[in-house]
Amino acid sequence: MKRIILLLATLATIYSVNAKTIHWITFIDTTDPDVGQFDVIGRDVLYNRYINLINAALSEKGYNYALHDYYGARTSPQNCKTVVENLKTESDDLIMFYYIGHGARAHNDNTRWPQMALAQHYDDKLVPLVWVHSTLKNKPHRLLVTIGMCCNSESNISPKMAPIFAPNYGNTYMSDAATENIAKLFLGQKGDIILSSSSPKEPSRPIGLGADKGIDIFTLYMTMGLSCVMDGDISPNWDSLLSCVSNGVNEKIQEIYHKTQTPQWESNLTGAEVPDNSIAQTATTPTPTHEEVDRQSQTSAEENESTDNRDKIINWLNSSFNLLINQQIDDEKRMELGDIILSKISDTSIPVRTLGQDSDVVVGRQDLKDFVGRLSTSRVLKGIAVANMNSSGIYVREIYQK
Amino acid sequence: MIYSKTARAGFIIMLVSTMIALTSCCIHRQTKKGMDDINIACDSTASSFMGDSIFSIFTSARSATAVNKSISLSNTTDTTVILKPDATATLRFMIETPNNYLSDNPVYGLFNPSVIYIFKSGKKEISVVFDFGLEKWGISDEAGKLLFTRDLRNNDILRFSRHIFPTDPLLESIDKK
Repeated sequence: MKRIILLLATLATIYSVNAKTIHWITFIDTTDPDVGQFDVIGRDVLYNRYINLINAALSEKGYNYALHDYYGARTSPQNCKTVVENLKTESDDLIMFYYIGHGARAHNDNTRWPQMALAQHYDDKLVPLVWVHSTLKNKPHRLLVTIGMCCNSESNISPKMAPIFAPNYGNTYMSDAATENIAKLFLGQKGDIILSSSSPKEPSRPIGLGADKGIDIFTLYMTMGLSCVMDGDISPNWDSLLSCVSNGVNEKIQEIYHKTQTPQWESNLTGAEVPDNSIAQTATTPTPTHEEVDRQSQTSAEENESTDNRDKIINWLNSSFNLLINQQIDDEKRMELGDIILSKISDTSIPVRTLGQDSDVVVGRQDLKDFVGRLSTSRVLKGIAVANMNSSGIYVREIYQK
Repeated sequence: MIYSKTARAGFIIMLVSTMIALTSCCIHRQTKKGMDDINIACDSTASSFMGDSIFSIFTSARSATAVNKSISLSNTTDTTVILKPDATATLRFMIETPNNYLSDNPVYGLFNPSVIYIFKSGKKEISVVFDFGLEKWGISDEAGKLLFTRDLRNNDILRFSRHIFPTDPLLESIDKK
């Protein structure tokens, strides 16, 4: 595993930098004793039913994506502050911030937005959602969406600033129309939005999915809303999507808890022209250094949470795999790219396992050589998302043309 | 047969008196039975959640002490108030309301109580803690360990607490929801 990581990491970026990028910053509290179990599912649903689909759709418009995926022990106020402050962006980039976990508000807070607990309970370490939004707003972007899924109920703190879908155990499929609708939603408007899952004085709540499983209602309805946008049932603009989500959440909460939970948002958006399809360049994510890879390799013998190095490697793999399936590159060039990748790797028998959309069921297994070969000749793949990487191999999810 | 007016009147009076006596006995019995039912419901719900040792402290404490932990209180406000026995009895009655034990639904908020009622019996004490913003309450033992949390079903204890701490802006803001 160390050798493959080293060899992949030393491959020069094949195309020049200055790529257009979707920056996904997700902080999900999967360790909380009360809601952590819901958030494990919430994270899976968010990535499999929202993020991966959007990435696949926008790759046809020339977008790469960079994941800053914080969950488990890495969910912390300090990591949030670090990644938000240090994010580097270009003017055509999209910035997506999504938090799932505990939150609260001070009764004398001047804003209507909550503060995020980020897996800790100390008042002085809560991070205001509005701070995240205003910090990211100061960075170059085409579209910024800041989402906080947490309670907005009043607490003794100081002010600072489910239709249930059937799980898909197989691959994901996405039509051209769905792709185009996602492109209109994310590229047809410029500006920024801040959004929280509940209004002031309201908590946010989960919904059971049966068999002791659950998910926060807001994320469930966001993914269902995206699905409606893809299907053309909702106009591909943010106000329509969020109105639908808000109504759905409130109705469901009324039905289950006889309470209110009203998502709220503030948008500063103007219309924009959706760019034509173009080739996605490799990401601007820096290639990890040998030292960073060595450190990662020393600890990768056991299953462990994401580290910054692992993020870099996964982002690089995502970019490379998605470049191979891009049908705007002619077939010969794609196969050349595949050969270049394989020529740098002495052990091409590393297993690549394909997982179902909504589960960790393995639906396919190939060694890396066959996997790269399949990608570079595929006419039906729209997106590849690396779900995990460890000493057992690489785990991916595939999105197919419908 | 009753023929004379006097005899008829006497019979009617006797009949009505008998009816009243029978009815009032029934009412009395039903009332007594109903009250017993209510008392038993309160005791069994609260006691089964608290457990005998905690419940005995809760019921035998003569007076409770109210403590306000809100950081929004001014420095001149009393944050600790000792309740009189009748106020303590009222508080106890509200806490024992069976509806307050029905559920403990998960929410995405931190349980951060701002009002605490301490019940002492001899050398033993328990704390009944309230986070009115989250609409949840719980009981902590002497060591401060939270034994359980439950959902608050109405605003009665919030309004009671506002009477104890009338200048608390947090309680005022929550009550205005």
